[in-house]
Amino acid sequence: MTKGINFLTRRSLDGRTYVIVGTERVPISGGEGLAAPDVKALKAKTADAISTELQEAGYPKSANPKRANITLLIVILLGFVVAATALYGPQAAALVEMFPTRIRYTAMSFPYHVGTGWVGGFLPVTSFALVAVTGNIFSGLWYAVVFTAISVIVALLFLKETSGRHLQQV
Amino acid sequence: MATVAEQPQIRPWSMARVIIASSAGTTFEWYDFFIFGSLAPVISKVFFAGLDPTPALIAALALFAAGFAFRPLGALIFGVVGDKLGRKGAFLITVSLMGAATFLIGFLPTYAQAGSTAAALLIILRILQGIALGGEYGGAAIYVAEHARHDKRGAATGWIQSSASFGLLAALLVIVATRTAIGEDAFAVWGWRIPFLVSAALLAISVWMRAKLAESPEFARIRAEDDLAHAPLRESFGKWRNLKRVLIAFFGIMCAQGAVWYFTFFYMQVFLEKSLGLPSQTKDLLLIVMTVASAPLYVYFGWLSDRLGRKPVMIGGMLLALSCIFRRRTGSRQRPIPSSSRRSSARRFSSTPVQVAARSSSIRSEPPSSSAPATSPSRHW
Repeated sequence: MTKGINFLTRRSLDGRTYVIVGTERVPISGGEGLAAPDVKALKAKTADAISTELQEAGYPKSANPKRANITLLIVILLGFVVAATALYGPQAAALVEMFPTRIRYTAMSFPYHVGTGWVGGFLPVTSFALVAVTGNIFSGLWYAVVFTAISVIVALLFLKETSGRHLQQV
Repeated sequence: MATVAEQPQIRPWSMARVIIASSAGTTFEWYDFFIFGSLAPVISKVFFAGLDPTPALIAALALFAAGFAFRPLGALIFGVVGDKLGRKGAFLITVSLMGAATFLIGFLPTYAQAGSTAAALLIILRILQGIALGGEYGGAAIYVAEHARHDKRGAATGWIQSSASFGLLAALLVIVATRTAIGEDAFAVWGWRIPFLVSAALLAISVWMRAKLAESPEFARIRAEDDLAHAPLRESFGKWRNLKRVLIAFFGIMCAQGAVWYFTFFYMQVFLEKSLGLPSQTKDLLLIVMTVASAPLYVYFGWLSDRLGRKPVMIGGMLLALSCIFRRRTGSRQRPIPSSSRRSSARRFSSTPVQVAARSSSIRSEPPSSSAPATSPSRHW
């Protein structure tokens, strides 16, 4: 099955659903009123039809490992790793130093877990949904961009430097 | 201020023990969390056998998300416990709760044995895991930070941060070892229980190590001074001075932290496999390389932040993440994967565009193309 191609979404003129490859149309049926095995068969048939059209139009079936530049890929991935660790490494100390000892546990745990649990935990699902709605395999990246940009601005404007601070003084 | 010079005098070995005991607990909690995520496809078959395969997988992934959703609740519950009764008590309870919930998942009846009761029990245990994790992290980070010297706090807490990598690695190793030892068929029937049961040993080690620790010096100090908060929730979120800091912590640090870290270690897997079409073994290998590379870097950047300051290091990380993302989006000259999604496809796209035409409502609800990258969630998510 062809994976990861961009597609455009537009309103259908006759109200029915199609996947259009160049000039070829593959009609898509929702399979209403069919039994489960029939729906499955219909799905497979539709997927095959789309796959065939795409291959005939010259879209490659999957990534060709021989043409993949794994070295460059690793460099980019390590770039992300360095970014993620530079942000996460000092973050425990930074949060601890923001709050007085009396309320430290409550006050730092809550924003931490809203950030990792909600912003982070729902990132894969939301990014997936963005890709599905827009048809652009890169649009899922916007979720991360927006939240990171918010933090850059807020941190630059409001975050105080706390390194080396004495905890009694917070 | 004369009193400020009074550093808690901690001998080096005691400090190492504090760090090891605290990170062992967080490692173990991350382990618990990751085995659940990695086993989602198996779990969906065992507990949601009454559903079709796709809804069953979605249910298992939703269950994974439920663990995340309940973390802030755990943060509030155990935050209050930790601020009123002490750090040590709170993080002994959270590690025990996490371990017990995980261990019990290994004993649950299957859908075939108990029907939807099995699924309900699983959901309850999963929520307990999320609540426990919500209380755990703060306790471990605070405990280490309150022991550490002021000028070494970043490096010391860096170990807590790296425990996520160790937990993920341990989970991958146990799962791969079990699968290889007993085979894929046995793994699907009963072998999936082993990674959950292994957590009992990890639980025993963590509780034993933590039980021997004393209360943190900072907490002991304010308790001795009778300066404990009576209502930590009201004080944290009801006073503007503190609420403002909570908001800065969330918007200034945690938004980027959640987005960048989960993008790098979770979404990237999906992106490599589904969008770029890499084989899943290559993707797994890349994930392991990334995880191993990251473990020492947390400590390094924690140490660096003791020298340069927290703010420049963290903002540097955010900006690097942004530049990496934009490089992927726009760097057409140097793309690592000339695959279906890349150069050849881009050229093809201009001559033979692919369109999905639908009524506008159904564009939103169901992407009808089976070739769309997003229709099937990654097995490894």
